[in-house]
Amino acid sequence: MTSLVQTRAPARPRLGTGFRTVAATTAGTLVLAAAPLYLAPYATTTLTRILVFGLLAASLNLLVGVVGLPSLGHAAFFGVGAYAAAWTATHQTTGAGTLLVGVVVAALVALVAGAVAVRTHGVFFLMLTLAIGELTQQAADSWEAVTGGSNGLYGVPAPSMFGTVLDQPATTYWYVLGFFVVGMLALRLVSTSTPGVVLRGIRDSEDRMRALGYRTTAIKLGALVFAGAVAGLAGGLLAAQQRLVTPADAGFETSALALLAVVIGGTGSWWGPCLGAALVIVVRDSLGATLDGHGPLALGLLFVLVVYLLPRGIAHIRLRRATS
Amino acid sequence: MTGINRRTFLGLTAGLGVAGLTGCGSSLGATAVSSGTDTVKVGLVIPQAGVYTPLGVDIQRGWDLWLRQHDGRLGGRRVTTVVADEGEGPQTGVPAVQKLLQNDRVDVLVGVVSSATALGVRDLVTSARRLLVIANAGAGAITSTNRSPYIWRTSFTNAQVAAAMGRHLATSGVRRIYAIAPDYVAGTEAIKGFSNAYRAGGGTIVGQSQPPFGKTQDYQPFLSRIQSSGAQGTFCFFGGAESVAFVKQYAQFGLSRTIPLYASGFLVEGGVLGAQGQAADGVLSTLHYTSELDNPANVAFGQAYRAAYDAAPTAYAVQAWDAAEVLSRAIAQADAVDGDSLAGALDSIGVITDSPRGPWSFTQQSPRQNFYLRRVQTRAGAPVNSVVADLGPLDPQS
Repeated sequence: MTSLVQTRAPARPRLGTGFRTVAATTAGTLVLAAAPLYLAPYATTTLTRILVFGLLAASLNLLVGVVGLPSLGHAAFFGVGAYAAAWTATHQTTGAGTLLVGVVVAALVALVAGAVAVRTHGVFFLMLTLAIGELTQQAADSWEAVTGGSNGLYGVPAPSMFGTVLDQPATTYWYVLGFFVVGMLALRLVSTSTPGVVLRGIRDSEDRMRALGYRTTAIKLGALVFAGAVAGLAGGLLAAQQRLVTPADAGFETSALALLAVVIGGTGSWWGPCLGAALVIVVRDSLGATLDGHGPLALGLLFVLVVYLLPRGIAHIRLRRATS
Repeated sequence: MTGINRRTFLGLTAGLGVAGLTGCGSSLGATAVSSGTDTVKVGLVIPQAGVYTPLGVDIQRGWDLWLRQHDGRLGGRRVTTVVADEGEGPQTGVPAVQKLLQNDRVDVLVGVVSSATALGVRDLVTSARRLLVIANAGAGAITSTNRSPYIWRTSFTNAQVAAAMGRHLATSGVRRIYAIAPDYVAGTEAIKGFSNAYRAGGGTIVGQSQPPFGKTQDYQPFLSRIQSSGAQGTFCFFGGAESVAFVKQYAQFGLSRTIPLYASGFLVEGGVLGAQGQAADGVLSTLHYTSELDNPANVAFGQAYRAAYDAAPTAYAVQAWDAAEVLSRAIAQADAVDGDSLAGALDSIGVITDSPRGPWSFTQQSPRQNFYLRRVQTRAGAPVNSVVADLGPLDPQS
């Protein structure tokens, strides 16, 4: 027994891990921030789309991986946030205030939807969230005066900050990256602090947490509203990046692709879903467009391959550790 | 150690993946023009996956056939065509256009079936100052309220097609009509275009329905309403699988004998006609084209098309054929392929007299063209839309 234990390296002190995480995050952010300097416009645009979709996937991951609430309607909040931000940009202001509107409206919708949904479990939660997504898409399709119906809200003005219009691939990218970092840090903060521990407790045994005195339904609702708000932020960024919002952005397919990104990236990981999102976007938009109509097939194959080869996702690949 | 290594490794891999796929460089600064003076690069944006795939196939056939008959040249320049999959809607359509403009650096864009995609790429195309010739998307706003000097259309507007039927019915003694179309923008535009023209001619709309788009399988409730409405005829607009379901159920319900079906031509255009079978027999519709048009250009076009693809040509193929035709004339005249030169050349192109659809010209960047009253008949064992009458020209904003 003793010899077995001794072959393993001793646990690293927590401080070191924290420092490494901060260093890696800072380095990653810097590499991302410099991307437009060495990437062609199309790569920058693709990367922008990846960031938007990555933030959506990361917010869904808070529900799926941390709270254990697999949602099939998360794009509803994404879509609502996108519509709210696009409407604000068209009719009111093009500043970062559009994002705030997107966040608030998405959070309110999540509060109403969540009040019903979090009381259910398992397959019932799946079906309810699916219904919420479909209802949102249907509403977007029918409410032509506000949403523009099936043609969507088009011609959304480019965002502006400090009097500068951000309509070039690089400037749009930096705008999106800035708020992507804000959203990711917020998600990180919630999932690693005390509330995150409570949420994981609920995932593992809700009954026990309730017995310990936690009001689990209220806490789950809070998590759903928070995840909805971050999805709304991602929606606002979509409106700024794509400058077009259509009912499909709130629909099942978007929800399903976000869930796919979470599964590919690895549930519960903070950054894994962003890598999953990158893979999904590259396969769907860059590769898919050139495959003579076999784009959806490529996405399907990717999903099957990941489930078989990486059942726990990219984030949980363990490189072989050096043992001494 | 592994914490950082793994993260860095994966980050780099993802970064390299994106970069490797699309080429490096810089996103700052202007995009260079790619083509020389004897070539032109065209991006063909068509649906290759999803419900609109048959339209994409027809558009590509029309485009390829024109090029094959013209030595692969547009206005004297050798053409390179890059095809991108538009998919079912703007979620895939907008990135496809972005890829063609920014990655493939095409000079001209052709295609676009979905109106939402056409409206969504307006700012992209306009800021890139590249010409987009729309070969299908029919929303009125594309060339009116959401107009861009760089976006021209060789197809139709939804309202225009329906207005042709409205104008015709009002003058042919049918006084009371029930109008039905799916609950989405194109359906609403069709009903509005029809109603305006029909009412202007003195007709009355006795009732109207807009069943949920893409979600209605059973039209019985709507058919009962039509039956009890006292209408002398039904005007409808449906496309794809919905047009098959509606036409079949209309016949099964026994309505086609008592209340004739009048339609915006897409109801019975292309592949859906075969799927509708006997149920479509006798349906009257208006469209800017039918394979049965008897003019020299269409006879030659029809023969070449049947020889190449073993299928009858459709309106979608002609829209692409004409897109190639006007582009060729514009390139020959402009002697440059940037958006400003080509848009200027298209503006002065005048009447196209040798199109398979008959003479047409650009009015507000969209065709002013003749519409034909067509009846579904069986000829040589296959259903076709035979020509009943030439209804004369209509403006795009009817």
